Amino acid sequence: MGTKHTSTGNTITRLKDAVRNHFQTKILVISLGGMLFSILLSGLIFFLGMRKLTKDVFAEVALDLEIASQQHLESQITSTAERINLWMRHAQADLRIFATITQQLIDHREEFRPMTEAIIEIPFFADKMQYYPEGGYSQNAPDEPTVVTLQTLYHDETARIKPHPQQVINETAILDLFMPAIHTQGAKKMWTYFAGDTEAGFLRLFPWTDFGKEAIENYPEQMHISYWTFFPGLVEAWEKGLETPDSTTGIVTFPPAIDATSGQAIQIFGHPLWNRERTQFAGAVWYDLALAEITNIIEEMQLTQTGFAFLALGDGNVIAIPEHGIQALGLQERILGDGHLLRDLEDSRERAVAALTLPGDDAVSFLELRLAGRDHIMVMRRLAPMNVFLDGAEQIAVQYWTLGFVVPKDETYAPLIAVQTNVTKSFKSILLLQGGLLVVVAAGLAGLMFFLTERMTRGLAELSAGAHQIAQGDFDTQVEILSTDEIGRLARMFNEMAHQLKESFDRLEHWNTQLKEEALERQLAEKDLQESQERLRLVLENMPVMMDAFDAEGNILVWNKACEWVTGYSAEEMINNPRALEWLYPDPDYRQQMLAQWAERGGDYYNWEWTLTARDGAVKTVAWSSISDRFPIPGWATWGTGVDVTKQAQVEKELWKHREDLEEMITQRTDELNVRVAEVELLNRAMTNLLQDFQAANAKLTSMADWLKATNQELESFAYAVSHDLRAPLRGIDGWSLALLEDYGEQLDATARQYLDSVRAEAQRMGQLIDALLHLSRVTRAEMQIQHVNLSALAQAVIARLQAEYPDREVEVHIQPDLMADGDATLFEAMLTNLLGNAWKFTRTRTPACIEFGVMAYESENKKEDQERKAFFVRDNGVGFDMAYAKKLFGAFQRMHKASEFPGTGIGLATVRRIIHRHGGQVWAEAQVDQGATFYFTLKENL
Amino acid sequence: MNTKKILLVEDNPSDVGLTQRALRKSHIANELTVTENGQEALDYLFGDGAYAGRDVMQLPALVLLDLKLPRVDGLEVLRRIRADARTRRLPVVILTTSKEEEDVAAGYDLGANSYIRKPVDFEQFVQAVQHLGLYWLVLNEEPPKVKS
Repeated sequence: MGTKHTSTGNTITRLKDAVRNHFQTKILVISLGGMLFSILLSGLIFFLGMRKLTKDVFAEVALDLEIASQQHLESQITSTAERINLWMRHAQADLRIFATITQQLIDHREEFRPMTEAIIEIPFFADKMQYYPEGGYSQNAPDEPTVVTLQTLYHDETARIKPHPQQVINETAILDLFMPAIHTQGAKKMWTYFAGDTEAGFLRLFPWTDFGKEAIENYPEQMHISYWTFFPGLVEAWEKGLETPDSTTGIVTFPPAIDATSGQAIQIFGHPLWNRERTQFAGAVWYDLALAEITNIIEEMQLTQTGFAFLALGDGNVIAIPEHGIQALGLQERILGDGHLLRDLEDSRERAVAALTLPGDDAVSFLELRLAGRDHIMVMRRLAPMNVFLDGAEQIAVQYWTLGFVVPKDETYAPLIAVQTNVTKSFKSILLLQGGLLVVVAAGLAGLMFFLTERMTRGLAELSAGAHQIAQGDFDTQVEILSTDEIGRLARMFNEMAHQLKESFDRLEHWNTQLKEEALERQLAEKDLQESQERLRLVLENMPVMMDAFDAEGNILVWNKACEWVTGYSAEEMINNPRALEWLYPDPDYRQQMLAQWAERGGDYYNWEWTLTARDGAVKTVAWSSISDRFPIPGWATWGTGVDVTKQAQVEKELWKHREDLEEMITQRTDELNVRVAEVELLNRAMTNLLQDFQAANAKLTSMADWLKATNQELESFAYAVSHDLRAPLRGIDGWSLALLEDYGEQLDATARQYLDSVRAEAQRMGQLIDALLHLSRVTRAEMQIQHVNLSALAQAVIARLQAEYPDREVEVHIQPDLMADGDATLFEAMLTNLLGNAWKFTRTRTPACIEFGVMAYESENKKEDQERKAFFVRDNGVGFDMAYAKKLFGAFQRMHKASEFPGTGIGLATVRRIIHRHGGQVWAEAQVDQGATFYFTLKENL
Repeated sequence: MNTKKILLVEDNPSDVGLTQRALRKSHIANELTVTENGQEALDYLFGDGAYAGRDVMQLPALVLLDLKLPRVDGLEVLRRIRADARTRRLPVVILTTSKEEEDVAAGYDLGANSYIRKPVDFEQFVQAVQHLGLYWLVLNEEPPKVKS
């Protein structure tokens, strides 16, 4: 007995360990699996979220950089163009002064005569003309302020100056007083000179140079012809302009030329002079400007790293471009006979450049070109119009120069790439940190889980071992209660269950004993039945009751001993004897009656009495009963018993009753047994359910909430870093630029100061963009507090603020009262501030300006929704926009108008769209240029 | 003659330069002491470390405090200033780039006298410093000295 106990104890211990390990493994696998899954899922969500955020930020920043760089290029080209135009205007203004003075001398020629005669006596003004026979010209002395050189044709045969040229010399002597001043002030000039009329086509030129000697050495024929010969058709073109004084009477210029004396590129400007009546040509005043002043600006212009500027004439000849620009544009140089350099855009090796069309209006034009396999942005702007005398055509036409910038596209993105590298780096470090954190927390949780499951499974193992013992039949088993938690309760319930189980098993065993006894009884009864059947057979055979059977034709098949005794006919005689019935029922009428009634009733008769005649002639009455319906026997059509003895029939009836009772009892007992088995099954199922509930409750322990919270915190700190770290350097750029301006401003020229101003403006703008981005990010992240909000009251407050900010604006505002919506009041206010602020801004040029806020019914495009929905709207009569850009409207940094016209960050409508989307609604706009704009939005009802 | 010092706690040399310049432009002549991190600021105020032996009763007229600092951050510096009886009433103005609501709230909760966000536009910054100097160094009544 002792030995047996020990071995049972060992088995239980082994079982406990096995079950415990099994349970623990299962729970650990399920819990850790769930936990790992949630960790991986939250990690994935975080990773995807971060990636999307950085991608969005880059996309938005890239877009803005493109716009910013475009705007930068636009402002730079505009300012450069203005600078060149200014240079031209200066030059032309100088020339007009010169022309006005000289024209006065001509107009008041008669009144000034005494002065003229007096002046030529003064050594400063007197032109001491000396004739140079080797060149056939006259020229004044080198100590004169201006040089006057008279060609051969203005002399008579005695080499004396003809009267008319002499008069012009005298009348213009006073110019010695003005020309030095005009020459040295204003635009930088190489030569300033006067040319007489067609009868006095000589020059008075400042500064003094030995013009005659140079001409003789280089172009001797010059000394024999009028100055006007160099410009065939010019005088006629000027005179023709007199008829239409609006266009070509004024200053003309020529394509740039190479100055014969200095070899430098010059730009010549000329202004005609007229007689007092303005009917006849009276000469002209001229400047030769040094073109280098302009070309140097262009050629030294620094745009990004390799970008450059160029200046093209109206015919596409590029007159100013740095060396690397010539390479980049694929320009080919041609040198004309007069030393003139030709670099036509049309002759470019780059097909895109050769096909270029110079801008036809004053707008800044942008286009993208692929030069030497690299994407470039080309910006062009037309300069101020100029009247140009075209040599070949001999007429004056209006022409435009074009200023162009060419910048490699990738260089404009250099700052973005730098930012991208930095952000990617910090993104990686955040990921690494996040990963490390995940591992640490997962390990901690796993330890905790192990400890918990260890505790739990010990209780479960106890339970399991108890269950095993119960399974072994030991219903006295009680498990140890180890804790007060669910496992402890479970153990208590288990003990209770084991107790109940024991009771039900006891009851069951009791029933089983009963059943066994009953089965024994049934066996005995069956034996009785067999014996009775045997007895019955013997009885049937030997009973004093007649028994017979017929086939379908009415022949006798069975004829028992009683039949033989009663009738005296043996079985051998009667069986299959067709005349048997004739023998038994000799009276044909009686027999026919019987047969007819029998046929009618078939087997349905009982104690049916008929009289038969025995062999010995005795008549006997037999009561026939059919049993063929109840006990049909194949081959026997009918069979029955016949007797007047009712005792046998009685015995048979008793026998049937006994059988039926036995069957009923067996069914009853079987049913009772089934009910008990079902009860045990129910108990088993209850225990299984209990275990499953416990497992489900356990799975809920691993919640994702903590992980989402951690992810949100990472995003917060990223936004914080953007806010602080990106703004600090911008402040440095702005502050030190201003310091430079203030401390060294006087040492810088206007352009340098303007550049510094641009640097500051861009830094400040970048600051505003970062703020706007942060605001947008905050709108996306902030937790919403849903309440019933009065949008009309909010709109009223926004309008009041705008009116206070711009007291001079007169705006008619219509707000439909008490428009209610469910949502976050702060976000709604931001949305209305943007929409109404836009309406306010873009109606600036309107009188009266109208802004309307209301609601209207609209049919949803979504046919499924079918129902009519309401759309709120903000309408204004402002400048509107082109619907072609409607789709871009709500993207970040998208702007429809020039910043100089309507300032803004381009982030407002993106913010509006996010707010509407967060409220489950839609936003869209309808507008026409100059016809106002309407912004519609819907909100999901019952948020 | 105002001899009281201003203590600037700022780690970014560019911002130190800009603040000095802004003070100069606002004609605030008070001597500026710069400490580059939170620990150094605390050492200065309490006469520890490199400032051992400094007369701690000579408190600055004003502390300009950046929030993002190496070693001990700005909010911790403020907490320690407010926790010590000697410096509890010292005017402290937070001067930082951050506009995060949590930072503003935490600054005020810890007893900052003002919270100024450094604008990107330097002229606005000069204006802010000018107002700051006018208020804290001219108009404001100095807190009574705490007897130790």
